[in-house]
Amino acid sequence: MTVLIRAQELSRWYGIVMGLNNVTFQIEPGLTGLVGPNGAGKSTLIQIITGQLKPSSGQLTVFGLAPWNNPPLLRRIGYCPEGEAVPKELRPLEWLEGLGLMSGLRADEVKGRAEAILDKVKLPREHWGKRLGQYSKGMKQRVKLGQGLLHDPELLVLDEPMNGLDPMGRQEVAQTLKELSAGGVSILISSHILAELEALCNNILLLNWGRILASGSQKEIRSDIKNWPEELEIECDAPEKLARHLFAAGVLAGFDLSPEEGLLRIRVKDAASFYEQWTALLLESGAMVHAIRSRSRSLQNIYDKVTT
Amino acid sequence: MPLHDAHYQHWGGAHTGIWGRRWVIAQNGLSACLRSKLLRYVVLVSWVGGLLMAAFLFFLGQLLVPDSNMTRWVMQISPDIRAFVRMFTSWLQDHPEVSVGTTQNVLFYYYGVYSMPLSIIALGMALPALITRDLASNAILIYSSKAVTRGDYLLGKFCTAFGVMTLTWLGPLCGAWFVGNLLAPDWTFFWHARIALIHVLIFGLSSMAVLSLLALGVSAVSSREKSTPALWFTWWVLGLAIQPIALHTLQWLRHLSFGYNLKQIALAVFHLGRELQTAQDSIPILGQLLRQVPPATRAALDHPLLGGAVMGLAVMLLTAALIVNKRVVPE
Repeated sequence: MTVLIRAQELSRWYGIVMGLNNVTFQIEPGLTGLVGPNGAGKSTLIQIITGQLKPSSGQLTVFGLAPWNNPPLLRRIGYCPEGEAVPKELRPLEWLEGLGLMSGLRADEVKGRAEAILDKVKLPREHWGKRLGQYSKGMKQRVKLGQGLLHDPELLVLDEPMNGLDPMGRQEVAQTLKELSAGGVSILISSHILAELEALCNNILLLNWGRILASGSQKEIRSDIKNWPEELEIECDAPEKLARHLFAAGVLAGFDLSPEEGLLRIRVKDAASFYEQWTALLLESGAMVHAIRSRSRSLQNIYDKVTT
Repeated sequence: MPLHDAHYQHWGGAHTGIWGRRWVIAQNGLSACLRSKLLRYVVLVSWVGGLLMAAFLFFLGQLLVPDSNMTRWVMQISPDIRAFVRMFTSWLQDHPEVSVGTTQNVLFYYYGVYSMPLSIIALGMALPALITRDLASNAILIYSSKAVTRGDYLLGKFCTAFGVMTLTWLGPLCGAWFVGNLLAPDWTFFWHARIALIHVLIFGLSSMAVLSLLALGVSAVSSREKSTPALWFTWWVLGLAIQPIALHTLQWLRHLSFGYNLKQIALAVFHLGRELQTAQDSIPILGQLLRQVPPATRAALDHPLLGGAVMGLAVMLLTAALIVNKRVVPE
């Protein structure tokens, strides 16, 4: 697999404050989530990737090239920052056309491209005549996403792109990102809404205190964490009966019952052995199972595990 | 109806070069500046000034031709004036280098120096569109992620400020020179007035570069749209106010005014003292007038404080560079 972003002993400090502390990792093409609490170093990393900050030591390459002071490379990268970063006195088309030209698009093609992108991010046409200062947060978010896509980047870096969007908007943006990914655009997305990242991203990069805590696919990360407790949520008609049976079989480390909801939450001792016996145990219990969800597979769980 | 592909469309066009992208930054900045109606009025007033200057040059040029309509009309006013004009025109014809060259050099010095305030006002109005708004809206984050370096961005903004000054200062100055000499009775006027144009270009371009860089610095001081013009105008007015006070106390304080420093450079570039001496020695009537100029004033014209002015401007430019370096960075 080719490597999209490679960091080697990368550090960035601001005076005595460490933004990134000697991190080494690589990101492969596709959809990658960047997860970490405030101050984890996500923005520093994003700014180094988008060529806005110079590493204090070590190196980072995108498509094999260092982004700092490298306009030809930056042309291949799109960036959508977290906060409001739109000039309020301009209309969306005016701004996007200017940005398109700044990115090297030709004057005779930029208007059509800007219009297509605004349609793509589903900014209603009736609002195109308004100044950006009059836009809601969600609409500004769409325009910001649009400017990141305008010059057809190969890598799109998004910092909290779902902020300010309503649930429908989030779904639309997620759909757009999936389409982009399917179209060959690699995406690095930072978000605090872990459930959305989980549904969207193949790979994740977990940061805290300027260090990389985990990177790779969720499965790989889970397999790397020792003593990982497998937690399952089972929806069934007789949770107490099932709990008793599993407990008697000696496979549980613990469980929680919610009989009124028909839910049983279990923590298993040895995941591999449990899954080998699981079908037989279930049949023997006589309980009718409606749904099984792995709680430990959630990104939130992984995040909690590695940051505590 | 055929189905259209609603999926993401890749863009397959050719990219423009870096100079084209820098030009876009400058052009967009200039368009943003010219959205201000007040600034458009200042541009208009500047060009009206240029036209008046051209008309004045046309009038002077006509006086050099004994049988021109203008000369004939002036000679009709009274017999004394007729005698004076005859003497004057014949003398001017004998000394075209002085009558055209020196006169235009002196005129363009005064026009250049005294039309500069209009350009400083225009630049003050343009300040928010330079860097302030980009800092206020945080759009600088997005600009710095595009295929341009910070240097390209600043160069574009510098060109915006330079463009505003070209529209309000150098443009009218050069326009007045060109039209004034185009309407002159003889093509040789262009030749005799060449030194004035060279001085205009040297002084104009260097002053515009300095003022544009200072404007970038002031524009980057704050992200409040009202603060940066207020700071600019306060600095300029304080500089003007401090000059008479500093003359009798701490003279170096005068160099805190960029206007004063640029005036010293203008005196040096146009060689005003030397040109006035030439005029005094060559033109009888001017000689009498110029002898009445106080010695202190003549000394100031003869010996501009170039060292202090350059030093003062260098300190200002360094400060502006430090501010820009500190402020024009992604958060």
